[in-house]
Amino acid sequence: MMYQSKISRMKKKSSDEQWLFRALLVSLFGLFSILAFCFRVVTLPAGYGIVPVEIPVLQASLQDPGFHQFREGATESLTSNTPTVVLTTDAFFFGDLSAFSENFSDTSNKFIIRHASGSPQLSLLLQQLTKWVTNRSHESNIPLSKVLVLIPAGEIPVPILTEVIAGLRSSPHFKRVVLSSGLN
Amino acid sequence: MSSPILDKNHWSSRFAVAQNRLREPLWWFPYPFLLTFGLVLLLMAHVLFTTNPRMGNPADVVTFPSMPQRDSAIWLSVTPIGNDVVVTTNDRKVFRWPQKIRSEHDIRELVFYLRERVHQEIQSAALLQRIYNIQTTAVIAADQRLKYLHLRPIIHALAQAGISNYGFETLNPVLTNSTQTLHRGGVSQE
Repeated sequence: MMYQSKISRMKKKSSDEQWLFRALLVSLFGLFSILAFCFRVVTLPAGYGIVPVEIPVLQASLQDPGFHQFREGATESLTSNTPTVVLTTDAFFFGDLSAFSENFSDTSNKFIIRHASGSPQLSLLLQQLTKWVTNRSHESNIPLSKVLVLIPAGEIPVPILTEVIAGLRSSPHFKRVVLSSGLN
Repeated sequence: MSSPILDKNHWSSRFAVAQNRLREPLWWFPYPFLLTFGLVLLLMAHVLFTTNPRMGNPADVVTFPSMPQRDSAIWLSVTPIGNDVVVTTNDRKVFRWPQKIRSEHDIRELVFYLRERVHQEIQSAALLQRIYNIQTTAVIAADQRLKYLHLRPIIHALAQAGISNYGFETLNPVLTNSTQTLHRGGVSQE
């Protein structure tokens, strides 16, 4: 008797139309939630950052006859003594900017750090470069500059270039990297 | 002209219809609301929050920890497709030139576009009365397959457009406590 009543109640419940509507309601809501989640996952960007580089500009003093008399001066300047790093597929070369421009043929004013089995020795470069810049500052009285010129060869892959720039900027001696047009 | 009696009859008839209708539950009633709510939910997921500009731009940038960029920026995705270098901007403009570029004429359109964007950035900064910490910055999301010689025309275009600050975009890795030290040196070259 008890079972029969249970069965009849179950039959009634199963045939009740409102269950269909409720199921539809919940499934629609669930579907929208899943779709919203999926679209958001697709559209949500990951965490990105940048490795900043600069293009040098020429200083142009503009007249400001207004009240403020604003005048913008250069914070840093590129000189013939600006530290310069050349990155080729074989080695790093570093020296003064003049060593890679005016006195390019002179071999005594450049330093070389070869890549170890194709892998650029960035930490060694930073170590040697810092030592050279500091010694030069003490011995020749050349002021320390926070700017460094990087001249990469055209064949250097972009990931290597990016990591080298980031590595150079991580040094306390070089906060600004100027990327030159490069070697052919 | 409608008389007050007609009006009253109209409203009482409407009331009677509504009363009759509400005697039994209406199961269709929540569906229009739910459909609208669902659509709003979906649109909010896209529109209210910024849509990822990287969608549709296949540049696979290097994974490397770097400083996040918060200021205004002109974003350029650079990808090699076939024998061409394809530049896609964050407002879906596409520029294309051969990998072995021969003259400045090939990047003329990009230079023109960058100049326009710089003007827009300056105008919006003036209207907002806000100066960005870094001047108009261009962010280059360069694909890992590219070499430096493929990027040189873009750097020339930036210089011609009067942009002196730019940067290379990197994907910041999800760091765990054991790997939070910045990898320095020993960069592998393939």
